[in-house]
Amino acid sequence: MSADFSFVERMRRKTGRAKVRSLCYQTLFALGLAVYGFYFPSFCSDCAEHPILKYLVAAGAIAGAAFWIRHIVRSARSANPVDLQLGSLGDPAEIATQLDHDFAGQRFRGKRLYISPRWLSYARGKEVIVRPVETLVWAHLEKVRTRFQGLIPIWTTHQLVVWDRAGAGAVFILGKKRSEEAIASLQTIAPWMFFGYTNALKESWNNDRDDFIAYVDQRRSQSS
Amino acid sequence: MPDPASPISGSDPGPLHPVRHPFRSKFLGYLLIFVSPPIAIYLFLKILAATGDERWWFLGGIFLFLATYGLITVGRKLSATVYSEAVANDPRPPVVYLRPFRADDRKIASAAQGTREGGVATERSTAYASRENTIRKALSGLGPFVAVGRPGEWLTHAGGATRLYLSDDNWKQVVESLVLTAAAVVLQPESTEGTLWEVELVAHTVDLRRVLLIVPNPRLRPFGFAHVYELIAQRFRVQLPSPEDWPRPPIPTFSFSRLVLWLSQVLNSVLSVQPEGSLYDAVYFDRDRRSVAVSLAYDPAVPLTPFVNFVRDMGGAIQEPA
Repeated sequence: MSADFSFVERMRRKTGRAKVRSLCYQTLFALGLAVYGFYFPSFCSDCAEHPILKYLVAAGAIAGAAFWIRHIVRSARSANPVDLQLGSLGDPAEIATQLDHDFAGQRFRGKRLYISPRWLSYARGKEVIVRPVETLVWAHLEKVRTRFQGLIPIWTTHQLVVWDRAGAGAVFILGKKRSEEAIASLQTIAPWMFFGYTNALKESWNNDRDDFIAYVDQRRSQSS
Repeated sequence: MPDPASPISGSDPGPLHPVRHPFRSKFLGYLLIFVSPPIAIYLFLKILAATGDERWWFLGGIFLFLATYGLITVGRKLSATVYSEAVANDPRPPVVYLRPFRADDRKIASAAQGTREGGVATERSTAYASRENTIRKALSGLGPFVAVGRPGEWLTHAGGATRLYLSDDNWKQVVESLVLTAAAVVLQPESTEGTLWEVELVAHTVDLRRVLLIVPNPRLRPFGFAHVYELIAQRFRVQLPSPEDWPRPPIPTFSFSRLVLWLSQVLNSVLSVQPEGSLYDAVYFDRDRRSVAVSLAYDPAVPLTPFVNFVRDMGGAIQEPA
């Protein structure tokens, strides 16, 4: 049965499930916080010395839980992440048709970047990123070290960052090897883009962005 | 005491208009500078005595350090020299720094900037890109270093050029008069309307050999440099050195600067100087009007010595007052 679903529909189902899973976890934690707040005055060990404080802590926890649940309800009512992402790019139905056409025959899997001459498509959990290739100007790898207390490195994340002409970046966590493969694919599909990271590219992007984009446009017009 | 809005003795800048000056108080400034560190130390000792929890020691120490640093910075701004004091204390013709106001706020960042979607957030740190203080030190042998202050500032700038606050109505007249009485002009050409007017003014009134240009470092900002290269070629009819001939920052084999640079890279933070140099470098014109590029990454006093000596030898101001 599932083999009949289109690429976008698969993506929609996967991200929809991830969204439901995330909302369930969040609801559990929010309810836990509310229960903790409700019973806090009864088990607080040193609250005899601070009679008002126990009620303040309880009220804070219950209020926090209420806000959290409100956020969960709003998230639950919002559309599927895929539809939200496609809606931000234009006509969702038309984009979905193009994605289905470009990635026809490919089985959608999470944490993978799908590249076609027209589109980049990626989903990780409930996070969906779709970008038109024609708007991209710069792609580079990024190595982020997560540190304990800001000092001791715990693990390293390799991600691919692509910047579009509006100055917005899309970040895909892919691992080192897949990021390099994605860069190689993009170099074939959009050779006019800048690839790699140097301080000169960074400063040009930060300080002379219009010229940066104009130069990419010039390379693109020359290559076509 | 000269009027701060009237820097010229020989030319008429026109009717003077009211301008709001930043708040300043030497007494309050010195009070903050000298009193805040002992108070911070006293409070830290109180924290040590009051609790045995190391977290309070650590967090309290960091908070007090940052608060003291902030108060000293405010104190420096409150007690900073104003234009009238600078010219009263130093009778030499001033060195005038002309730049777009946004140059004061420009920062150098540790990562590409822009809104990001997805992925893991990177550590982002920034540092001010302006080399104003470095230039002031290098040119201190010429005269007081002055610049027009940004209108509406609550506190003046500390550590760089002495600020002169002008009203929107007559700033061009005052700047023109100031340039004509200056020993040298430090010009940061950009494409803002005001700065383009200043470029025209300097191109038409100042001997090129008295001009120090602050231009984007082509190793870091090739596009920005290309713009300035074109602008200077059009307005001054001279050519800047090509990016291939641009000097590399003279980092010593081992120094405190190098250590700090290495540490900043390890911690993924950023300084105003990167391995390629600073965001801005300088260009001066020698006796034969050939352009010479100078890295502003570290102390540019030595490479700028020929410029300083030549301006000093020429003596006087760009146009001596009548």
